[in-house]
Amino acid sequence: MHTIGLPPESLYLELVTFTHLNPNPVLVLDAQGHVRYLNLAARQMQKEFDLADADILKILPTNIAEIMRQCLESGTQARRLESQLQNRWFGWSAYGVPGGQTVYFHGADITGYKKVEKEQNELRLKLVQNDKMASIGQLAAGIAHEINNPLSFVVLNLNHISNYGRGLLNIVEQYDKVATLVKAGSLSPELEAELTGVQDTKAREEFDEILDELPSLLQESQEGAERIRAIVLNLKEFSHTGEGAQKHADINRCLQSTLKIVSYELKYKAKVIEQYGDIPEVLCYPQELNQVFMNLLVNASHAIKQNGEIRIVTARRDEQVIVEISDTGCGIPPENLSRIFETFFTTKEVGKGTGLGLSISSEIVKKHQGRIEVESTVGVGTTFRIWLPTGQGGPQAAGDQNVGGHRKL
Amino acid sequence: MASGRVLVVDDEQNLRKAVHRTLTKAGYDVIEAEDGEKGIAAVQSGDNPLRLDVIICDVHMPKVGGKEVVAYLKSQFPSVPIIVLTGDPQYKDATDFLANGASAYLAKPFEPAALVKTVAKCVEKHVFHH
Repeated sequence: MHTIGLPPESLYLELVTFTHLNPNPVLVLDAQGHVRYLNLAARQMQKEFDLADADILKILPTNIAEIMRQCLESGTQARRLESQLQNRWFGWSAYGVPGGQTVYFHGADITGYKKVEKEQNELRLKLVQNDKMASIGQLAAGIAHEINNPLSFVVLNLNHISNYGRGLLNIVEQYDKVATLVKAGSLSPELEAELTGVQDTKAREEFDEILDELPSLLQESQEGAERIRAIVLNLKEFSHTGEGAQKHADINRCLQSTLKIVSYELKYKAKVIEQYGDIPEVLCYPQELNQVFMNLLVNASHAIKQNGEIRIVTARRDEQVIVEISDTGCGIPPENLSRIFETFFTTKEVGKGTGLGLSISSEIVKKHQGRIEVESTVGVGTTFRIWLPTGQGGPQAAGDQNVGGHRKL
Repeated sequence: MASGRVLVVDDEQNLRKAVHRTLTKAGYDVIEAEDGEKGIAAVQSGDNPLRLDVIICDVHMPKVGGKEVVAYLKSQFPSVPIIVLTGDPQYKDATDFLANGASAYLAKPFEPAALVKTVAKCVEKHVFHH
């Protein structure tokens, strides 16, 4: 023992006191695993976790037998061992003197570190996932155009084929009528043969089946094309091209420029009233928010048959900016209200709505740590309300507390 | 009497034909071309070379970029509304084109009804201003 170089005896009292009163638990075990000494902190742990004397080793990692063997044989200093009790984590070091009969354990509460570690792992996973999705998004963005190009004439042509098909069938129907008339009169053998031939051809070509199935074949194909369009759009949602940092944006200006884009769609149907409040800038991805505003404005115009009103209101409440887009359109029935943000949920007829707009908009708002609400009355109108944190942080400035009147339609 | 005369500029022949067909059936007189220059030439060498109500132009043609085509068409027929067809509409695209002289845009794929309605609105606008 004296070859190790221990401190002088004069310090022994201080060192014992240090060990005994150390806020971190210390255990001294003999080679057989019996407890020779517990400091106050270790005893405190025993009490805290309600452990009987015989169970005190439960505060140590589960594999101490192997650790002890290593410590005693080769003097290994084992570090970063962990044990878990209820919701708490403890990190331990163990060491012994080679050839000796005693192993020393020294621990610390690492619950806090474990929590951070867990959060970091989750964040890392999320980043990897985001990266993957962004890659998918970028790929999708790259080929969206490639897909949409041929898809565009498929859509137009299916429409024409549908009309042509109907035309051809009408012609056949009329020829059938002619055949009936002809058969009623006297027939030359050639005519008779031809008419019989037509019947045979009709049977061979499964004419009845054509009549029956052609409309649905076309309808289903058109639906398929629409779904392709929607999926490409949906995939692009994950694209992060050109999107590095957020910007401080004036939401009023965003709304004004979005309005300019959609005005050609709105102006024939509704009067647009703009009530812009005095609002602070918002830290955001302005392009994405504009997408949301465009979606809501287009939806509003679709809800209105004619001569309606669309109202845009912005206001500040504390550190949030509120954007309200209301319409005097047909309204949303209560049973649909809870579903409108679902992906692919739509009440529009096939080919008219993808059911993606609001689900993407809601994702974008969530991404900005905001929230989106809807109020609606059938036959009266609908209001969408978006809350966006300014993202500025810092002390709350005195601002306009008024939302501009709660509009419950 | 046609509802209006439309120039369709698109390097993708299948799409050009499909748009031509749709608009012809809707009563429009359609001139097709695979690029802006050929389009302008086709209009100017035809009967009634000054009559053009709408230009439909694809803006993802590999040879000449979208903005240049729109600018060129605008320079030749300054008062004619231009509808741009885009395969990959980003919000930014829309603002760019509308800022550079396009009157409307259609994102591919579009329904034939949407095409006809947009053309009708532009023709109405054009006729009204003249």
